[in-house]
Amino acid sequence: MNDRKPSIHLEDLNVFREEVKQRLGNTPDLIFRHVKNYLVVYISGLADQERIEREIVTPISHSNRLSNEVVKSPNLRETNEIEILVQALLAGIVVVARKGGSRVILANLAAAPHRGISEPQTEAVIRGPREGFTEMLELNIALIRRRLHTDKLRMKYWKVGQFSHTEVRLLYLEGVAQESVVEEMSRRIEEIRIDAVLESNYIEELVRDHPLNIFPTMQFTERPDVVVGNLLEGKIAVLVDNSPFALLAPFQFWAAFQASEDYYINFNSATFIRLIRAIFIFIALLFPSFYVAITTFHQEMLPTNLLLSVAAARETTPFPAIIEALMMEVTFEALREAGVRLPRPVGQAVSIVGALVIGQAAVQAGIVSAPMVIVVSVTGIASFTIPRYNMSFSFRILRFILIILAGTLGLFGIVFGLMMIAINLTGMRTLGVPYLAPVAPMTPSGLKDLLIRAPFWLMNRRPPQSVKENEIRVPINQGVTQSVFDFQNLPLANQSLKSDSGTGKSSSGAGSDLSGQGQGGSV
Amino acid sequence: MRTSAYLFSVLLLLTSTLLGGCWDRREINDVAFVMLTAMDKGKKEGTYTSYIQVAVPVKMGGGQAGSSPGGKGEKPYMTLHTTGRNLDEMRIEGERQLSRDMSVAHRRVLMIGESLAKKGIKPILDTISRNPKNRLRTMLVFTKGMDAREMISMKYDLEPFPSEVFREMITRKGDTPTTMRDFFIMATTPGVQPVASAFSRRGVEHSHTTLESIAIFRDFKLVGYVDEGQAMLLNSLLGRTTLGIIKVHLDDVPGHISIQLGKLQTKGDVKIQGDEPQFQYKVQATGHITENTTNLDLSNPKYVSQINKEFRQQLKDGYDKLLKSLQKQYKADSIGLGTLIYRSNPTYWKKIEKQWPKLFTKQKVQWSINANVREIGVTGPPLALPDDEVKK
Repeated sequence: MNDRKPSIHLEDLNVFREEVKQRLGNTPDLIFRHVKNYLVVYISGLADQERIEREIVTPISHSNRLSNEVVKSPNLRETNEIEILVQALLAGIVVVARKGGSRVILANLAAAPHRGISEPQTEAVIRGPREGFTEMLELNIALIRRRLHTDKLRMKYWKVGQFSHTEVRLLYLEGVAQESVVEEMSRRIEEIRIDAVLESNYIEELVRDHPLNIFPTMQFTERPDVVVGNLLEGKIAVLVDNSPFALLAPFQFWAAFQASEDYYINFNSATFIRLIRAIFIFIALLFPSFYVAITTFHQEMLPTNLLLSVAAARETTPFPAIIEALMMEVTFEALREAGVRLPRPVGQAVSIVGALVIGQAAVQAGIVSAPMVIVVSVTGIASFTIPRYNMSFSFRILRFILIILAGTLGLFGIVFGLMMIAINLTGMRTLGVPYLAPVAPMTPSGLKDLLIRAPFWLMNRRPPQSVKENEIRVPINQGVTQSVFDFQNLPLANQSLKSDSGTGKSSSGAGSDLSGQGQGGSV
Repeated sequence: MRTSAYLFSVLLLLTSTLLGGCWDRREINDVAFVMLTAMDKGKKEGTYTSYIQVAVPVKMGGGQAGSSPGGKGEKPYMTLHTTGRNLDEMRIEGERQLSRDMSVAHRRVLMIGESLAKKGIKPILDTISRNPKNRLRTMLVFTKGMDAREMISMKYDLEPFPSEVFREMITRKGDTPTTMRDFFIMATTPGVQPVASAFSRRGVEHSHTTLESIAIFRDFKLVGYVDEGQAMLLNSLLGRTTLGIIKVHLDDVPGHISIQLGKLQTKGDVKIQGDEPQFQYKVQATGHITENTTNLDLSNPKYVSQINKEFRQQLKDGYDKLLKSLQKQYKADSIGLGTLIYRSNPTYWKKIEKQWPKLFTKQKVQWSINANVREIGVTGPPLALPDDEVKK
């Protein structure tokens, strides 16, 4: 059947050993162990040494000819293709070859070094789960599974990357997510041709809609609860091995206002916070450009006393307002970047230098006016209120464009720029969903979770833009949800596994058979 | 082919940015902000002279501490003096004297001297209202008993700008509608003549600026002033809330009682009876007693009702006096009796519109006044008086 593929020859284990060694380029971390007439091969560091000892080496050395079971490991496969064998080794799987055999045994004892679960750094919350994804895909999936005990959670998986063979998984809820969206995303992932996938952005950039657009069309998150929340809204998630960031699609503009914590605090507080956020998002985008436009074109728009204060502050500054604004904004961005890049202990120094040199000295020297410092700092604070990091990038870049427009054309330029942004946004689609939905096109029920966060008992439908069927989230008159599965109330296992006669009994009487064990009823 | 069309359309879009004509970028430190303009009659017949106060932000004291060359005590404005045959000439002359572009958008006060106002202000008003940069919310004020030049050269430590003094006085203390917009509205409404605030000087060498008069206009010419208590009553007839004090004397009682007005509202009404308009004003007034120099114990309701009666009489006399001076002395319908007719009976108004200036002087108005004292203060009789001197 597999004649064309190179198969494994195990007549002489030394030949086999040389062959494998050759394939992997004589690498020193390839470990061979001869145990009796077996050869155990693995890559050190990728496989669990202890388990190899316990489940493979020891059983082999203690085995006698009568026993067939020489490898006592739970997850075993076999193959006779050298290509698969090599890939398996690279994935951390242990290969056990027997002299004279036709196939090798593959034991999945992979235990690549990885980090433990820790608090997500990018999406911190005051109230809410503190678990974040790690670089290990299996662990991440488990974190999602733990929150979704449903058989409707479906996964598709691929190995992407010529060299990296990175596992990419597509998660969705069957019956909630749109089939067409799932298919489209699968098609795009299958078409990826790339060397290696080191981070989920590699996937994002290759599968996203409007690849040249400044606005993101996929969301990334470090939080399993965010992934689950979005799956329940009919979105799909893409998880990439070696990256703690899951991708979510379709992503819409308004998600920029939503943080996961909105759902973990009371709805009125969440609404208040969202409104604050909405105001500050506009400030982040427009404040410097408004300042530039008004002070250089439309001085009549300022209240007289404010105008005179601004005029007094600007009297000694040598640069035009637009140059000053660009200068300060660039400096601010540089400070921010420096703060991210620098080792943490040095980060302190940056903020001191920033605050002293720019906040104090520049103003006192009369190079920069005090109002401009205020404008830039308020804008800076505002840009930190955007919960989505990639969205805040878009706003930060557009801010510069708007400053230039404001400095050359005044308010006219700002309106021009905003119109261009609006045209761009309304034209965008992510996986077939309009980017500005549910505002444009308007679907009133979608507005419940936009600028306001309606209480849960009002949000009984899934967002209409991403779900076509199965819209009802909470069926009316459903009553109290009764889980089918309740481990504590299952009948006790009969250890001796005799043919029993009491099955009917134990399922009917709630704990009557079990009362002696003291387990029933307390759940 | 497609790319060139694409590039062409992008180019077209870019050129559209030029259409705005917004290349008039002016840095804030290239603009001189006019705070106040004062105008007087020029020396030669048919000319004007004007004084333009321009803000000097460096001397504001705010902004960069330490970097401002001027210390305290220096005025944060400078005054330009221009003359010309019309406003435009003066504006151009003013621009020639300035190192920066003049911006009138923040002018808060336009002051016109008495002598010029008496000659007529019609030609000035057009130039001012035509330029969109002029704000209609600019205060249009007049001076009483002196030229504007004298009025603006004042020493006033509380506010940095004289314009601020005038503006704040009008918005805080005065109730007369006196913005340009109010003036234009009154001038164009049928059956009413415009009024405006008028500042005057008091005290030794005219050192105190006060706002206590209303300038009365007839056909855009200043004809006189209504002062103090009369001004308060005129304000109430113009529909403004107003504050003031009314002094009441009771018969056979030495001393007086001062009533601080809390509310003074009027509502005019006109009925045409036999081709003659009948005017009736309902006046609602309340007040509280702030001063009592008599020996009466005001906690006695008897005295309060006496005071109320006198209060009403005082108001009635005041209104009669005001109407009489408007009719006989100024012949200007500043309270809008004509407007009342125009609004309630337009066809009748059409008939008498032409003769109204004459008819106005003969109109009678019935005042039905309801005035009550609401509070007498925390004590009945003056506390300083011994008990036996108090009249219970």
